[in-house]
Amino acid sequence: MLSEAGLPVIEATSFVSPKWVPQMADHTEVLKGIQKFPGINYPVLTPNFKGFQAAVAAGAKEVSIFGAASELFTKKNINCSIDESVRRFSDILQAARATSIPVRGYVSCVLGCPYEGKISPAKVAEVAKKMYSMGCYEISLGDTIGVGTPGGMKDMLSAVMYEVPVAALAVHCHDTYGQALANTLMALQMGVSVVDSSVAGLGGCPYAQGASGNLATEDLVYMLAGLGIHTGVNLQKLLEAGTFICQALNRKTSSKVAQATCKL
Amino acid sequence: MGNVPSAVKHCLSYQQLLREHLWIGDSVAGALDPAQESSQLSGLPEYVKIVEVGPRDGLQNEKVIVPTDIKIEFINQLSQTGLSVIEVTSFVSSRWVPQMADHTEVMKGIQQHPGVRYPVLTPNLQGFHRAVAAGATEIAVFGAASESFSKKNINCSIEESMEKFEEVVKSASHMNIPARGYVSCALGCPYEGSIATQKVTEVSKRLYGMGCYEISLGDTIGVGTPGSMKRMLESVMKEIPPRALAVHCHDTYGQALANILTALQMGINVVDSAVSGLGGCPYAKGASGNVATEDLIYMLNGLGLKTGVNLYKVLEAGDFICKAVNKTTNSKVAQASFNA
Repeated sequence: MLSEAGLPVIEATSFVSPKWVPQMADHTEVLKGIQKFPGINYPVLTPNFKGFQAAVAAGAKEVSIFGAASELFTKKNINCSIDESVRRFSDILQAARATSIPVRGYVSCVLGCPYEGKISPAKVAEVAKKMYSMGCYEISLGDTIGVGTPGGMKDMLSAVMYEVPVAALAVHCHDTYGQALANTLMALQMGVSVVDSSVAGLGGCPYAQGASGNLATEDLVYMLAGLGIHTGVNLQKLLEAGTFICQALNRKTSSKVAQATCKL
Repeated sequence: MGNVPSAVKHCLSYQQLLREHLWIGDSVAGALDPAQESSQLSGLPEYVKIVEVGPRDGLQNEKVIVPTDIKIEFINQLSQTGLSVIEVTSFVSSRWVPQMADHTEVMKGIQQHPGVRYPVLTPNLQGFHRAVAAGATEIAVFGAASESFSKKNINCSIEESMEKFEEVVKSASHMNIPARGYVSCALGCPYEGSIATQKVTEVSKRLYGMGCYEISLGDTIGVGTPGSMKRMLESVMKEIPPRALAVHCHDTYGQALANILTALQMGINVVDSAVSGLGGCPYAKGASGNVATEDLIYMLNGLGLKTGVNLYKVLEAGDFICKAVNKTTNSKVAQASFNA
């Protein structure tokens, strides 16, 4: 349904061990089972070389790797330092280069960390630069716990844009404190033209019980359409996909556009 | 996001995180710790006045009729947060707005803090006189940039409504009572659809010209986006100085904070909001209404802008009223902070 809505990139699954993320245990079946529309990319997460190999075997044509701008977050998340995590990625990047598979790099905690608190823009720039120079075609800067505000977004992007061209940057804002769209607007004003979002604002926040998670794609598309920015996405079809998944999960949508349109 | 760590319980408690590292400044203690302040975005005002409309615009759109003593307690709690303007009630006929039937008791019952203003809506001369008798020292009148909306809402054309308001504003002026003017449907109308910026400017100019000290431009159904906000403000600011303008954004489509940011970037420094994002939308069942004061303050604090408002106290007032009306808060900051 998401493919039919005209989204150009849909992150399909994660080739991670089901011990860590049981929800993604069926990664191979999902990737093999979906209808791949021409012109749409279906990247998958590959946290390590084993995952990368499994992803390629399952037909993946694009992969993503996840770094962080916080030492403590990296330690708690994947049990190593930032430097070590970057070293591990170089295996994936080499192999991906050899098979012409594009790699997207994520940097978590760019505007704040649940363990370290404040994160310096310089650190974000350092990690982003490293991942870009190693071969990631795009770096998605994630406000993982949604604590950022437009001023912090601007400062962080200014630092990163010094090292990585803006055309290779994306923002991934969480809406935990309701700041996602304002932060995304600031990023757009600074020249960023790639934005991550999740239909119906799916996903909560593991660090704040009861809080919301991702920016809702419907609300993002609404804003972009209002700004006259072309996305190629059909909002109506997107809303349908959102309704479908919310019904399947038996949960209410986190998208305000969906709430306003569905007249519940 | 990557893998979900099992070590979540070892992360900083949220209270600690918010207090020490992020944008929740304690306004009582003064400005944010300079080490935490982000560089202020250039072009933004230094101080933003928040006009709290929860007790009026918020409660007006809630289905449950809130008891008078709860309303009074709610307003009393808000008076202690540092908010400098709290819209108390509306002197409108109870036939039209049953929620505001107790306007006189509420106005008389609240503790009026020094330095805090308590405007009330007065749709006509009769309402104005009642408001003054009940002790009101500031009033507001509500116009619209849409003929259809005006007709459906107050059963007269825009011109007729302006004539009525002129009576009220002139009477207020004779008694040295400041009057605020609202313009509804500034970015769209539930009946007419899109609204010409020229019309918004015309109505705003009329209200300003008759003596309203401030014009609050309302995106009544929350359909606006930063582009339409910018265009509308550009038009209005040709006729009215930015210091006399405010924005009143509804969050029906999740656009409120982005629209407010745009307004701030254009030099507006007065923003209306409602604690907990109270009030739904009478035109879209199930939709949300006002932008939440908590979320607004969070953004302003993060931008390094002064508001004088204590976010923690606002969160408490929000928690109080949500429990009283038995509803979940619409504020994301409150949702994240109270571990619901």
